[in-house]
Amino acid sequence: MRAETGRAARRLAGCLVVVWLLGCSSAPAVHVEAPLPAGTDPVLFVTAARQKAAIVAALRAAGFQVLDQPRADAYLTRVTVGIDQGARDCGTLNNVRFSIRRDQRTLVEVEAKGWTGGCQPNVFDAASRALRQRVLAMTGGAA
Amino acid sequence: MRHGRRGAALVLLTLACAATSGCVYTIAGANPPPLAAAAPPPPPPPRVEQTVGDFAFTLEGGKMITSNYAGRLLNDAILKHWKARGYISEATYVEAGRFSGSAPYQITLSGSQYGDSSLLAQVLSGLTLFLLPYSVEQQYDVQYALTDVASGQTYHASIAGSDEAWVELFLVFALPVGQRGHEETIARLGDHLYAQLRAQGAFAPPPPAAPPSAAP
Repeated sequence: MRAETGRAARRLAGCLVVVWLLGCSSAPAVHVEAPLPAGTDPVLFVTAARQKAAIVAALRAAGFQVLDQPRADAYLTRVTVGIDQGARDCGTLNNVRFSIRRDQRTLVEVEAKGWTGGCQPNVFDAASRALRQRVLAMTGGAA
Repeated sequence: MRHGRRGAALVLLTLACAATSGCVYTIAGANPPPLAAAAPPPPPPPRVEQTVGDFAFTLEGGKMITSNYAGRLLNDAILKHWKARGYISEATYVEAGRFSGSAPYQITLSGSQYGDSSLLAQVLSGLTLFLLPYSVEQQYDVQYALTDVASGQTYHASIAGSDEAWVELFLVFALPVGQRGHEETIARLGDHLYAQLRAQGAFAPPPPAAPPSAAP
């Protein structure tokens, strides 16, 4: 009886660890509401109330041209970093959403969950790479 | 009976405090740094029409007001500061995309605002009728697009900043100065936006009229 209880407890603990690990991060999911024009590499301007510098660095590392100041021809890229769901020395665990917008309409959006700040793997890097891949596939640009 | 009335009055006072956000003390963030006021344009200062474009407001623990309304509050506060500085004479709000062209300048605010707060602290504060304090750090990332109606030219500016608000029952006594930190942040945001726009040539006084050429 005691051995069975022990096995059940170990199974439950194992399940909880799996659930925790799965819940910590999720692969970026990209949604295209409206295609970007083919043959152009979109120039972005980022608005983000949280962690803007890290987001801009991740988008640039992924290959996007990101402006420091807004410009009429740039696509507004709104990045929302959700509530902190965990914390480490390197950063916090968050849901993030990158939305490429024009005329108050979302054109392309990527959602992901993972560790931010200086943590590796980093959700800003993963979301930026996923966005870049989809944008290149859409516009026919070269990586 | 008397104690009951006193208790009810205390509860009502607390709710009134919370409802009017009177129990708040705000502290300006480090960013953006203070900026010396720019020289105002020659009188009369111009009128502007203002609206809210692509603006998103997020508050941890719940969404109490809409993004557009939050943007309008922020824009009203910044332009009130501009008016106090003498940069503009009046700012009229219009619905997005409904500029009338009656003012020489049109301003569209866009950007993001995030209210960072501990949900647990908010709940505990509420349960103790605000005897326990909680704080909300507001982070702003604001962009202005300013169109000069006469020339059709559009100027852009961007600035980020933050402030912190502490909520607690006895901060009702800080009511006269409670909003100073927030006002300081708004003033800094406004000064930086105006300086960036001026540096690009916006709000420049019209060139003096050429003297009439002498008759041959």
